[in-house]
Amino acid sequence: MRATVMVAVLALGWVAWLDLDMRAKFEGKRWSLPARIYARPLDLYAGARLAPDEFERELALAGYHRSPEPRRPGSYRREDSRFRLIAREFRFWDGHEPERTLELDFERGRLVSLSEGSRKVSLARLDPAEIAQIYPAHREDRILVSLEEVPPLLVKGLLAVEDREFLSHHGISLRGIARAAFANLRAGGAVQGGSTLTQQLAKNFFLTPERSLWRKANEALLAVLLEARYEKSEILEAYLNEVFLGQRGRRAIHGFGLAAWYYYRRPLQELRSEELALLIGLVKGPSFYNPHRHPERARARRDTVLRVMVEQGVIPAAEGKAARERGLGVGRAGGVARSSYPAFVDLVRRQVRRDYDIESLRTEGLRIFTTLDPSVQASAEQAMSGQIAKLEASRGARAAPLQGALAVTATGTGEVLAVVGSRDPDDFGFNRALDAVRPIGSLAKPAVYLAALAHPDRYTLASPVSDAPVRVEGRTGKAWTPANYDGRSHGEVPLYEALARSYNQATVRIGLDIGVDAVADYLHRLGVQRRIDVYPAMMLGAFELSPLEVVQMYHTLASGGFRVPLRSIREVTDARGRKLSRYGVAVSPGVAPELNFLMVNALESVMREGTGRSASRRLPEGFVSAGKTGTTDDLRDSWFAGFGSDRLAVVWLGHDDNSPAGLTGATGALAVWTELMRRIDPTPLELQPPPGIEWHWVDVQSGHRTSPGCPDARRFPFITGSEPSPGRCTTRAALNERATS
Amino acid sequence: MRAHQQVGAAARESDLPGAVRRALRIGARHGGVVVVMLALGACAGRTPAPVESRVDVPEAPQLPARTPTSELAVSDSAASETASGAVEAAPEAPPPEAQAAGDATPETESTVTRLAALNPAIIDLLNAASAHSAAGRHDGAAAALERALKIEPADPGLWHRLARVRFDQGKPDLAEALAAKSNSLAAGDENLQAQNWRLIAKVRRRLGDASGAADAAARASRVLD
Repeated sequence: MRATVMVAVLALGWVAWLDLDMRAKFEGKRWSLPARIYARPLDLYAGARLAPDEFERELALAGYHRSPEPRRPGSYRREDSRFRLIAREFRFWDGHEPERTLELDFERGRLVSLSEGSRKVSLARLDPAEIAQIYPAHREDRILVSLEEVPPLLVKGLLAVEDREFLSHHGISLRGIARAAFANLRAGGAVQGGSTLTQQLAKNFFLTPERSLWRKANEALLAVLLEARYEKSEILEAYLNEVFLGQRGRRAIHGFGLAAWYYYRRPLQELRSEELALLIGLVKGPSFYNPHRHPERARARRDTVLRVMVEQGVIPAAEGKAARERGLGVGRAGGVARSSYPAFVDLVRRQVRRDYDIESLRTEGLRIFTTLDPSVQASAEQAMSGQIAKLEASRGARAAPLQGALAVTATGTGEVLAVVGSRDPDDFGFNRALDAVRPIGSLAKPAVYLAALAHPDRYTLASPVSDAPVRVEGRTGKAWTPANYDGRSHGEVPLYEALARSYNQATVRIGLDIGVDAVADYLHRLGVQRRIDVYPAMMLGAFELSPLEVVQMYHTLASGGFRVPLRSIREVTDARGRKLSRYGVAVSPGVAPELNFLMVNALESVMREGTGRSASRRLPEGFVSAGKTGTTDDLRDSWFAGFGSDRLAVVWLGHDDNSPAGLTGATGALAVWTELMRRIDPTPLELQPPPGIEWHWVDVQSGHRTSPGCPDARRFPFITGSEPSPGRCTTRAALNERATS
Repeated sequence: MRAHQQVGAAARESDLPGAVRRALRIGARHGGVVVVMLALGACAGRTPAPVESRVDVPEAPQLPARTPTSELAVSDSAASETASGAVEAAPEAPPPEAQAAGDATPETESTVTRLAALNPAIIDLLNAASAHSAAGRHDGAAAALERALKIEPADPGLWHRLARVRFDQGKPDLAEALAAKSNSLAAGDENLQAQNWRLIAKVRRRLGDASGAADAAARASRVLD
């Protein structure tokens, strides 16, 4: 008697403990939702520069499926350069894109017409591609679904296959167990499980995967307790989000929401009956029925589920038959959006971690909308790996492999469009775009010339400057005698030419005249934040920056002299799409616009007649650009920074061990840059002179003002009032012009 | 909401992402079974959001966002607009009258429409920006203008509009820089240059720089001569 009481007390105590534990877990269970990182949404409008193939790649990345007769959202039909697209609904924080059927027409690399039925659409925004996630430590992943948004067919099918008495039982179903046993006996194998959904949830939710009678009993007990405490709908919803449905590398696929994306690259709501049937079938054994590895098993399981669905009246027989005839339709393994772009995502993580703690990023399901342009990124990756392979072939064997980094921004807004951190774009290791901090060589020169041109009374683009040898006495008594790359002096040259041809001697002379401090000041005005030791060799770039820092510096030149902090994130929202933070375009004054205009004009000369001219043969015809080469001692670093009107790119090539790479800026980095520009086909540079700029003809030999048609006449922009005095040559045309104006 | 205030303005919107967590905590505290429904609803996106329940939460929400540092870029976290309003705003169909309400200076419209006439997408975005501004959603307006700038980065009218949005939002320094940016692209458009200088004068007055303001105002009249 006493023993019985003891046992009863113990059992009650155990049940109470389980109940408490279960409630704490069920109620305290917070699904960890990884932060999701998205590419920029594609803006569609008539006139957009977008080629049909490029558009199709964007669609694939965003999980759109090509189909001869698109019916579901997320599908499209393509006939040459015409598309019919059923765009998905998407709630951006600042506006709602409805589900709608769009007709698109492309011509000569542009979207020329965009309409919905007979109505022209002026602007549409595609739902953005998910490019990466930030995972919790245990690597669980899920896309939560609510009961209301789950297709009814999924619930009915799931109950028909896994737990027919779900709506009436109290956690365990003896009838279910008996029926499953009978069915299995008849089929000569396990076709049905005896556990209720509630038991399965208890198993998934609470316990370790050990198999024992004690555990079975606890599972059953927990199931009963769950049923006593919670509504059927809550249990079902928890089940739908918790059930284990596959493994992707180290990541566990939990719940039907993520499984739909993983196996079919579609949201759950878009799935058809045979697709839902496969997911239901996977509950029984995601690895045994893995459709990627065991397609025949998976298909047989799916067909079994479809048969049960017909038997139980979930779908009509005809539909079941048609569904069984369709293929499995799962893509390649790893169908969830390519979790790559490691270099870009690295930048995003660093930026987002300034404002958000890592735990929130791993668990709150935050959505991070980035500036990544997948097309530009693809071009950047191809340009980098393709050109590195070519360069390696032509330079012969070297001890170290050639490495590279590259970043592309939109000019003006400072949005980072693409980042490549290695010759192998999928390399998750050293991110050279952010962390390879190298001497920048002649890329520093614009700061010298800006400091000089800031004194229009002393220096203009046309001013004659001396390129004679120069000797700087160091404080230690050791003299510094910088030489030109070709080892020669070029006498007196116009200032713009000294920059275009990257003459070291002339640059140092100008810099010494204007003052090393002024040069350092201009480096900082251009956006260099790192501390720079101020000494003469600095003028030739004997200080180190990362490629991204160089991007920041040249972005100022490419944006009219205004400093715009680079951004890789536009906004962060919560899991429901409500805005948490937005990172807008910030602008601050850097270099006076007139001064900047002169500099960009000189950087155009680099491309036309200076160290960058070799690019012109391979660049798209009519593509005007501005840029600067950079080469460091013994050809260790090969740099190029350049821009058209809307795109800026900086390329670095070199060896990780800092040994000579055998490439100048022009023979190495410029080749990658040129290939990139060829691929992305950017808008040519067409600078509007700011107020305060005047154009004059100058005789480049004498430096005096002259007229078009005179010998050595060349047109230069001047800050108003800084133009030189007139020389002797005037043509009739010039006199006429003067007479009429 | 008490502890809320200590976290500062930036946190005001930041409490939103904790919806899941909060829902779960509410559930746990009230011992109710609403918890899972709330949690799922909060994440699912379609169910009516349990946002109202925020009002009842008597403790500081756990904030995923620290005060954003705007070192890298302008952070708009501190903006006062409501998140739900932002979600509802449809850039596709702003009321036409909102345009006038959002921008009181008619000259700007002429500058802007000159370029926008070439591109209906820009008109759409300008209308959306006006609608956002009229509703006090400065961030929405800035976002629409920045989208337009992605299409037309050298349009001085767009930069001017953005400058005004930032001014209205209480970011005078940024407004001045944006107006200067607009000016650097506005050679030949004296009207727009004058408007930019007038805006710069307003900024400087607000910042207490009387002589700077006078200088800017003088330049505004000078460009129109």
